[in-house]
Amino acid sequence: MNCHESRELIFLMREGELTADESGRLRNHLRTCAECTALQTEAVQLMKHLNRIRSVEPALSDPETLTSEILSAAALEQQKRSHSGFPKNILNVFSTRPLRLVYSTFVLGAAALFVIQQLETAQSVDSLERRMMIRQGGRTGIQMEYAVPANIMNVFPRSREAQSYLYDTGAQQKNGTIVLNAGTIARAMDLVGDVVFRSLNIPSYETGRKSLETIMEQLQQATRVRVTINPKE
Amino acid sequence: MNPRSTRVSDKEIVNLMNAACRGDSSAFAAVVRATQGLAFSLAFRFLSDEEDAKDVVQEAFVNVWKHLADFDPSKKFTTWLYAIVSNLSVDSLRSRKRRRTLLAAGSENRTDPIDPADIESIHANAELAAIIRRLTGDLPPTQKLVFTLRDLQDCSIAEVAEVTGLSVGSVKTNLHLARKRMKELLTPYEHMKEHPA
Repeated sequence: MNCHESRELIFLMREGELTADESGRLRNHLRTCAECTALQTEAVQLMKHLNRIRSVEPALSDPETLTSEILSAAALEQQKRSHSGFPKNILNVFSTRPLRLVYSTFVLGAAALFVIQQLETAQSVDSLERRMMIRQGGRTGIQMEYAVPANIMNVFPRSREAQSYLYDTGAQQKNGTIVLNAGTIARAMDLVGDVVFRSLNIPSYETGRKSLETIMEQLQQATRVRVTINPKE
Repeated sequence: MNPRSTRVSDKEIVNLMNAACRGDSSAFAAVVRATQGLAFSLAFRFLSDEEDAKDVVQEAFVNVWKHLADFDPSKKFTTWLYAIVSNLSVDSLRSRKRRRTLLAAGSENRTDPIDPADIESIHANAELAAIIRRLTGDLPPTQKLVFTLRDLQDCSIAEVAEVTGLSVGSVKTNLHLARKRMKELLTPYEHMKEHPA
């Protein structure tokens, strides 16, 4: 074994990482090579540090709350699935050729519309993020958290990413009003729709601009802060 | 696999999963209680953030619930769970990095040497997260995942391969590269200890 080969194996020293043959050849090489032996000493030291880090088990604070959140989210998923099924015999309506044509045209049209809407939303969110970057300069997400009332946390109890979208728009808070951005709120809804709507006691939702007015109203009630949509969006 | 967080045997988990598949939601709740600690531990060690880790764990179990019928009882449940948590953690990390790049507030890629004394003094989640973040912050996601599964979660090489879908050879290569990088971060302090100025 040469030094190059030895250095490929030297960091693999935990049980099951080297074959018996590789271990034997590495041992033989180390007997004759001071440089590789020095590297191996460093590798052994590294493994001691890693053992120490591994011995610290991350503490899960309040596991029962996490369990309930998981079970609620799973139950919501179950509800969604049980409500979304089409009755099988409805498909018989489309059994004749002319109706199949109408149906296919409708599906294709709806798909095209959906793609266009998604592209518009994506562009809107991207441009918003670029503007945020310019406006906020070096400010971090943590600092932005102070820009909105604390009770908005109750509306978004889980996803931090969704919260940060709201915090970002919350930076526009003026005279007791939070000005929310249509593209941003739609993105936040996509991220935590179920959790948010459960918190607001809304049985179901559709993302997109049609439902934004309802969302605003519910957010306003939940946060007791006046909420408006950015007219520029 | 790390047995510290679960008190229910693999066989019992399989029985509970079979019951959950038949619609027994209390069996699913028992699976969650028995394994959420393991899932959290992996997500926390990979993401170095408690809240992000909880988000990933919640999403992972919803995925388990949605795909109960896909569970293969001949395989370990924890391996399946780890695969789901790993994928979601990698997605979460990418999303976090993308946002930090946009906001020009990136602090993820810290490459300063690490004082081993900081490792010895880890007691709470915050200290653990800080050390892991500094050790693994600049690793590519695959190296980071392999390192987390093997060196922090204590999975065997075969389990890491199964969770990640990599070959055993590729797991070893990624592990070697990750540990080599860790050594570079820790060695300057070791040398200072041996040869004080």
